[in-house]
Amino acid sequence: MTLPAQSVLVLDEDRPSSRAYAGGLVDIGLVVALCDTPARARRALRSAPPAVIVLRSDIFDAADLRAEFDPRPRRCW
Amino acid sequence: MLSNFDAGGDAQRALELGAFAWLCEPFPPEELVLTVQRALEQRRLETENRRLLAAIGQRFQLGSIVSREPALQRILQTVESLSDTRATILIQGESGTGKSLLARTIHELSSRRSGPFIEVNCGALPSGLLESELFGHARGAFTGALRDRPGKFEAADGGTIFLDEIGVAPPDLQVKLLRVLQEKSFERLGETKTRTVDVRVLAATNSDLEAAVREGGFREDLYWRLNVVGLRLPPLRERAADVPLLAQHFLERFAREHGRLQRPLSPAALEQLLAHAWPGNVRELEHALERAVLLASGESIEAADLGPGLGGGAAALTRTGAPPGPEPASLLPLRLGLPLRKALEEPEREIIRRTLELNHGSRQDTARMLELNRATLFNKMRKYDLLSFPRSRD
Repeated sequence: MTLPAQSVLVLDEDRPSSRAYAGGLVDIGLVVALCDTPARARRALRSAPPAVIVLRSDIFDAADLRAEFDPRPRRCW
Repeated sequence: MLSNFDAGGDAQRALELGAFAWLCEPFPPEELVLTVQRALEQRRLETENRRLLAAIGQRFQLGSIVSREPALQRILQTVESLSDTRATILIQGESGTGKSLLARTIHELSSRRSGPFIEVNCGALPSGLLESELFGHARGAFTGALRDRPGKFEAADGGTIFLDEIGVAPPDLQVKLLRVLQEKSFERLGETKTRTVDVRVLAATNSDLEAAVREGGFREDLYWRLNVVGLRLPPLRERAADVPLLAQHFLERFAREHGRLQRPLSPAALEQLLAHAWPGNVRELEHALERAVLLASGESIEAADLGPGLGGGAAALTRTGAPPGPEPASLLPLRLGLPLRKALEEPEREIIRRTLELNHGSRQDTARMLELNRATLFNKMRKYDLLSFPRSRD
């Protein structure tokens, strides 16, 4: 998966509301990828860190995934 | 960060971890859109802020490249903004200005940094071997091809390939390079199967590629494909403010690497460094300071420790005025009325002779400084009757 700089990674279950969130972001011109498992999220984060991550905190452990983030302390998530 | 409930202070924890915002479901979809837009804007402002801070500071560092010179700082800022794109970049600059280092820095700053960085010096291989090296070959493709072998483009899949000395690529290889840039596909030598790769291409040259295009030696379409973004690294003589900064960096590095005492530069030594014209650019400075770290025995590094090409000898090339000793004042005497190839012979001989001198006769170091392979250097030394030049090491 290769995401350009202005991209958003949505980490959530594959459910109507998450698809609606992703759709709303696509509508404003952002490139959006949706990952529904921690393994896929890790792969996506390693291959192409997005500009912003939208994360469902009761499903994904933000602290755990943070290790995969770019070590440069400027990423917003 | 989203949640459908706030259990046990999750919101507080998320914000402590650095989350930009916390949204608790249910919320209208447009609230998420607005929050993401604000997060992107904050990110943009942070990036801009860092850029401005660097610009007003006296020193700018990008990866291993440090500079106080505004011209190079602008290049580094361009590199930073382009590093995470797929744009092909053509880096131009004299030998020793750091083209390879810049290419690696671009790779390290990109999202491809976990992929391979493959460097190919197109000038170090005969043209016949270069195609096989880049694109691979099938068994039996040519005499000696005993087994299938992938090329550097396949090795760089998912990462970056850096084609140094791209100006020497022969015409038939230029066609193949153009195709891989346009279509990301190629065939190994002796094979019909088309292979596709995901590779970012960075290229560099120390020759005037535009002139080569005008003279028909380099394809114009390939030139423009490579030169989507063109960066010109200034020679060290145009980066005078960087000499003390780089000198300090190399002194610290080599003292650490060789386990030597870190000695300061004496004022005379620094003056000598500032006066030198640095025909070998940063690489020459690097070698001079490595030698000085190894040879210095006093409390500080003196001009004499910098070697015969700088403080100690007769062959110093100075930024201003004539060099000391019996050498002619001009490194490149202009001889008009001769064919260009003939007119360039004398300066070329002089450059090789002085670089040999600078490197105490070491052909290996001379070839490295001039970015020639050793066979080419040997041939040129034979041509210019320099084979008798004393060899102190190699």
